[in-house]
Amino acid sequence: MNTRIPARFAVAALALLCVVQWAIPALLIQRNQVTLGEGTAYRFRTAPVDPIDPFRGRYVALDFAAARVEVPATGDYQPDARMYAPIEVGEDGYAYLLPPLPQAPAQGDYLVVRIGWRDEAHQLRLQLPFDRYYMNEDLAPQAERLYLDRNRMPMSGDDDPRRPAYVVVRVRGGNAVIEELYIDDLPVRERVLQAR
Amino acid sequence: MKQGREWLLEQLPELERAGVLDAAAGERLRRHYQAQGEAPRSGWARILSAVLGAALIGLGVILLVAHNWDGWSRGMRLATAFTPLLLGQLACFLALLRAPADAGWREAAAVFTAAGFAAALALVGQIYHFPGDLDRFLLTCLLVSLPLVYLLNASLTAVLCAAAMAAWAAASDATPFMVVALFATLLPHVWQAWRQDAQSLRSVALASTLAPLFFVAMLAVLPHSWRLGWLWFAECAALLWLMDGRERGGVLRRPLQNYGRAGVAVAALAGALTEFWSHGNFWYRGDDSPAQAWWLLGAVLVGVLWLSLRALRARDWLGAAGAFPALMLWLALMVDSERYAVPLALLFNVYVLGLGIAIVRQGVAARQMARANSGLVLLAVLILMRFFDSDWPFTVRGVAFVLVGVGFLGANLWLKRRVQA
Repeated sequence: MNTRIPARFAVAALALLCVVQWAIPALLIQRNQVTLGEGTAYRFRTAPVDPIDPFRGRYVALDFAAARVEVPATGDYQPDARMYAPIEVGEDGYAYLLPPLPQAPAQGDYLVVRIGWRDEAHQLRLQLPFDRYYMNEDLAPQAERLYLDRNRMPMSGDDDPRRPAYVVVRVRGGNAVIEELYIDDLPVRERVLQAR
Repeated sequence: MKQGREWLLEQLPELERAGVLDAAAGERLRRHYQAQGEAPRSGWARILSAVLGAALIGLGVILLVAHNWDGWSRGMRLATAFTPLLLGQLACFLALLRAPADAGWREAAAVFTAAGFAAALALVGQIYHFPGDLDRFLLTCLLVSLPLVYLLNASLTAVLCAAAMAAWAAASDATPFMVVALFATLLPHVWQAWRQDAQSLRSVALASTLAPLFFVAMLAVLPHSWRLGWLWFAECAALLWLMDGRERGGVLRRPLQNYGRAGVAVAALAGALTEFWSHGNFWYRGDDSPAQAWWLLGAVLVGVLWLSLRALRARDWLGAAGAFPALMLWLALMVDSERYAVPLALLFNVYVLGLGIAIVRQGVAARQMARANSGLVLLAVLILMRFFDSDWPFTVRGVAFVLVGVGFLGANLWLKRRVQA
């Protein structure tokens, strides 16, 4: 044992450390479970691809139409700044974001976003608090292939076969948790298994 | 060390016969060195196997989590992922209470707990689809694992924390001071290990891994890393060489000095190229380098100069000369180095030549073949660099390579005779 730390103190400190090691994931679980259970559900359109995370495995990387926001050309948006984007729902039923604010809005749901860059003078790219959907390592590549297949550009004269994917996100008090990724209006896992 | 012990044990009967030692003294020496020779060997084998076993199981758990068993219920996945953490924590308590002197048990328990926490946190992120925040993940894991280093005196966990710090520095927007502050949290552990036994495998392993990890972490956060990176490199190399200037123990037991000497040689060889000083991007001097980086580089330079002066007072000319590349890089910052590229490269060529000859001389004087050879290698690299630098035809360069090779072998044979003489 470390000769500098008395045994009794070391045991007490280890007990405290164990509590911290359990408390961190437990708090994260509690916060996200509450959001999933009580948060408002929004649908965000997405276009997935299939990368890998060394610790958490394969995931479907998500790019959202809502991450591109129309803003005034004179607006002051510093890159990487943390801001609050109010959520609105369009006539098509999909969620979109309003220009981000420096403070959380007093009413209505919002996302905590990071400012990315300006695509054009009036368009701002945002980094949303969700950008990936983790999947089983066997299913994730198939989900990507399925999406690309279902979203190919139409041949001339054909009906447009594109049926965009979307995620359902639960939002509560600025905390956002992905509930499910849908392709062809089916949960992605179900849709991939159906295609096998 | 092992060879010396065995030699002494073989010599004891002869010494007793010659009357140099009496039988009782011989027996005491025999018992002392036999016990010393066997205990650490089996001890280290056991520690190594325990630590490797725990590390492999921990990494295996992380990979199993990464598979994503999405067919299982959320509760079942969480229970499975938290089991290694619980087992690791229990092992830590057992190590503290039942086997506080067992280094293998302590090291294995600490590393397994650190891996168990990383796996549990990764699984929570996977279940709730957390965004790509590798830097936060690494920082959380290392901050939570850091106390294990001190509570269990666990050196492998310290190395893992340092690796996580380097990866965090590369993945985040960290500043140089933040990296220094994080690595400083490991210093008491390293200091304690060195104070107990600077020659032990643990001390050597800690120095061998932490020094390069700190260097890489700093390099990752320095802006304009081409320019500041070379300054940082030359300063670090000189600092490592000068701060570990002792000559006791074998060459492999002095990792800091080895890193330092190799680093100074690389910095000097780079400076011996004209392109090093004349490349436009390399010496670009923007105004956006944060003051933190300059303060840090300046502070390290002061430390290097102080150690260099100390070496001069101790008549360690070679050690003192280790500060030359760092000092020259700083001086070159004051002028338009592109204009003085040729004289600067020439100066560095002379420096490398002098350094190589001095190392060979020192190796011969100390009868250390490895050191004398390292001086020869430095001289050979300098000569070969000049050939690559020139516009000579391939045939001429080919003959030159062969001649340098023959000269190298000849010099090696000559050195061997001188060292053994």
